[in-house]
Amino acid sequence: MRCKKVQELLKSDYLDGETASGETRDIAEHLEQCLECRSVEKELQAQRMFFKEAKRQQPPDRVWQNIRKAIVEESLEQDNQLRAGIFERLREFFWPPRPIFTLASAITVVVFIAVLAGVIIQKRQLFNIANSAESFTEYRLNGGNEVALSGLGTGIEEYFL
Amino acid sequence: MVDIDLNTLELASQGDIDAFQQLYKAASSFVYNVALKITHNSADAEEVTQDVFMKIYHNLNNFGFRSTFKTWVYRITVNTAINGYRKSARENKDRVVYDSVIESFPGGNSTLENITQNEKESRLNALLELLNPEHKACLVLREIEGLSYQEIADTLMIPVNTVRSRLKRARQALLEEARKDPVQDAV
Repeated sequence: MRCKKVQELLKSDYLDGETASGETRDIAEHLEQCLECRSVEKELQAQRMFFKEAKRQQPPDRVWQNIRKAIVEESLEQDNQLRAGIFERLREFFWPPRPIFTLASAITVVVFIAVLAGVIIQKRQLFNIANSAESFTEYRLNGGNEVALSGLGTGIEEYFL
Repeated sequence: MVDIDLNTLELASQGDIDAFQQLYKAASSFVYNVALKITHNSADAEEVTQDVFMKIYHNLNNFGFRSTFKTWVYRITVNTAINGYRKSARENKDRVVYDSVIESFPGGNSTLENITQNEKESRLNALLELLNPEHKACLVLREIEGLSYQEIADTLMIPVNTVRSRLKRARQALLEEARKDPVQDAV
């Protein structure tokens, strides 16, 4: 095994015990013969010891106190929201919020305008029918009195004739 | 990290504060130490620990046991710590004093016995400051928490080969620093 390959494995799998048994044996044999690789291994082991000796620290008590406080506050807020939610629903049921009135007013106005427009259109149509009936009458008047008299539509026309 | 039984997890997910406290007791040491090593700052580590447990509290209901609880906590911890570190680094761009990092490195042949525990801690933190957060996370999970390559890969959601190469690069970087160390030259 070449030094480059051995040193790569030393920095990962070999140091971490992740090499296969055959590979471990080959590296161990190489280390016995190669001074440079042995030196690298020594450095890596020293580095590892440094990590191993690191003291494990416990988080200060205030960390849990802060977490607990945050959780309790959140729970209270949720409860308040739930209570407020029930109250809100009741209030909305008995006193609907303003947007409902606004919407209802808007709908009323639209319906009113639509009805009004419908009435106007209908009147116009009647007026047009009446006009066309009048011209028909005039036409018939020119044609002969007997027929014309029977074809008169209104009292006022009868009056003038 | 100490194992947590399913019953405690179930109770904690239902909002039982005492069960959640048991969960905190089991995992807080791991969370705090990883956060401390990644952020290199006790105030940031406390903030990260708090964030991690609030995330656990909020998401425990949605934890579907697709991974183990430990792996889930490891993942939340590492991600929160890396984000915390980056946020803090943006806020304090001159936080790393490079000279102190070089001076504090122990070197392969230095006499560790002569170094007090506090000095060791500060040296280790200075050493880790040389690495980017992803490499640091891999090294911390491996060297301090003793996770296997597969566990690290599951935690960080990366291939095992990436774990391998990150560890190799991290150790290489530390070795290079060790070789610059005058203590080693003197020995």
